Amino acid sequence: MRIKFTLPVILGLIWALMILPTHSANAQIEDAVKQLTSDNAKGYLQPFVTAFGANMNSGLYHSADISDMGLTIKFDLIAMGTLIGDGEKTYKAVPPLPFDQSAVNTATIFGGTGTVITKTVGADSIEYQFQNGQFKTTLYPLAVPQLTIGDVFGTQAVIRYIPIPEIKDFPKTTLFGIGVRHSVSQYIPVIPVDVAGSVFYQSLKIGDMFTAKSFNIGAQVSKSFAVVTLYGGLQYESSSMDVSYDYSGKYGLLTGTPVKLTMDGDNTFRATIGLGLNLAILHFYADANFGNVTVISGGLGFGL
Amino acid sequence: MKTNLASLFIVLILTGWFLTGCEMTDNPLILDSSISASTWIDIPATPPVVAQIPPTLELDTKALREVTGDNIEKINFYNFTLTADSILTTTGTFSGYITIDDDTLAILSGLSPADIKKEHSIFSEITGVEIRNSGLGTLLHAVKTPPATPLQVKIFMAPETVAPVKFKLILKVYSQIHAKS
Repeated sequence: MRIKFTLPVILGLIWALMILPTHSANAQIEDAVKQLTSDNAKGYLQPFVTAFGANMNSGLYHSADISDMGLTIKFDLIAMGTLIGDGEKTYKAVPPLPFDQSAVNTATIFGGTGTVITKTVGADSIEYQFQNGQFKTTLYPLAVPQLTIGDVFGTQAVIRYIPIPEIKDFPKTTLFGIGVRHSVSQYIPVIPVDVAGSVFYQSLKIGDMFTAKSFNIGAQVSKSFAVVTLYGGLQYESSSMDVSYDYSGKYGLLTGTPVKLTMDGDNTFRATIGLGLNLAILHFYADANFGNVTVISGGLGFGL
Repeated sequence: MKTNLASLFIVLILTGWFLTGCEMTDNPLILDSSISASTWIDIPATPPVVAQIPPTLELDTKALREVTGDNIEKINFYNFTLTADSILTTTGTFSGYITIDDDTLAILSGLSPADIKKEHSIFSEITGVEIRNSGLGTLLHAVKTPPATPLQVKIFMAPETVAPVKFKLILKVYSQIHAKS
């Protein structure tokens, strides 16, 4: 059977790819996190929170060219991934009593195997192992659909929305993001490049356990050469994740104790450089983002 | 045609990215597991002789494995704790020992219920608790290879002072289960 790569087939494939890794990973991640007391959960999850926030704040623009009045309707499918280096793979944790209370380096959710602590008792020894990492990866990905509409008085609206209903073990997931971009170059009579400013807010809720929020404000610049657009920007950003669960471990807290954490992503500023290819109504993008973490982003768009 | 090829190219890149870029590890999930048993310790001021506190308690180490339905790759014991709950006397101290399947696990001397009011590991270096290798070996083996019948735990105690001692003693065994789905 031949598969024709028509638009609906492409959209379906990418949509499925968005969901599948999350589906298989979700139960395992939840089980791992529920074993952690709040102190260790923070260290274990911090790189995940940072990567998640950095991803959400990526891929929001691919040009600074916004006309004063005109029609822009563009649907983008954007994939982004935060690079995971050695620094994101370990954190310092304190083992439970009766083990020595010195902090040791052990695996984060992106790390390898958890550190094993031993203690000699009589002629035997007892050991405790910290939770193992759950992802074996050099980048943590996310993919989102994005709709850009405008242009009204040099302004575009950008919307991200993914509603996924609860399916078996996969929890109900909702991403909503909204932002506006405004042309700055329209106020400057002679300028060889396009300049725009933007502000975005997004929220992502995964079941009852994870709620992530992100905000960014930035400035972009771009220059088009025939079908190619070079773009870049500077962006201040913040992200946070609320993690809520009932502790299922056995030590330090009573099993079933509710744990609520709010963690902030480490990425607060980024510089972006990217390249776009515009073929009539089809657009391709790729960019790199440099801040506390490095994010690469790519995608394709359809529209005017 | 060119558009379809370009679309296919992008889809393949994204497919490769998602399938190879972020896979779950094959590391086992580590799950905490515990079992416990409790009894009232009620020893009068006299006579000050060491006697078994009835009843004999049972610790079924098979139950440690019930936290998961997944394949258990490994199980390790990491703690045994004592907790004095519902302390009804405040001045008395006690001595004695705890056996597991008739092997002595810990010798207790001159402890006050208040010393273990907060959950206390027998492996913490505290005055008044000494570990015995025979009982520890039995416990370690029973956690790794659960016997068909539960471990029989006996508590022998006597008051150290003229004051009576009455509290609920909770014994707890902790392990970690390494499970693979």
